[in-house]
Amino acid sequence: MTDGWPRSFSYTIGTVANWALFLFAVWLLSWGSGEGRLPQPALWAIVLIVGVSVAAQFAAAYRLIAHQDEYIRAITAKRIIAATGLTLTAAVLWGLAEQFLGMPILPMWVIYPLFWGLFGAATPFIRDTRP
Amino acid sequence: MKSRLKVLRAERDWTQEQLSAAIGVSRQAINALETERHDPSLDLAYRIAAAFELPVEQVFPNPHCRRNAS
Repeated sequence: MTDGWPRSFSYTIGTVANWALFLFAVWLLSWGSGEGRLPQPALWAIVLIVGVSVAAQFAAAYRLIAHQDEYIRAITAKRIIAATGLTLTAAVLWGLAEQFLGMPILPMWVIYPLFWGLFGAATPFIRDTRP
Repeated sequence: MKSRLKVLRAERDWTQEQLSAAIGVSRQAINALETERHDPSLDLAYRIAAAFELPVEQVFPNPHCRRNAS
């Protein structure tokens, strides 16, 4: 199968695989840590698998950008910068609110889905590569 | 950046898809150039000009040149 513009076929396949792995591993951790169903080394192994899926997804995104034309590369980079800024802002605000204002403590791993969610939310609003 | 891309394409009866295939970029990139949502790199500007067999400035009028300012 040819991978025409925007050359995202292999990225789509990789994304589905990485997200399936991520969600399954998080579910497995949640299930396995309850009532000692899984031993500690197995839980550590699953945690590492989650880390690998996250790293693999960013590597896939990097490869995707590298193979695009200059317009899609620039606009994707702009969207990633916007999503990163929004994610870090939210993380800092929530972290301070947790520490000093008694807000509920959220697990740090939610930053990852939050980032991609914000990337998706920013996408329709960023359609111009110019400053 | 202003361009004559849409006019030149229409004169040749080319679709955005045909032009994008000839140049080796996405259709979205051609659309972004035509709607002034993307300023092309020098390389892309040369490739587009070559596709139309025209000098670059006849496709992308130099915005810094006084005679093109109006």
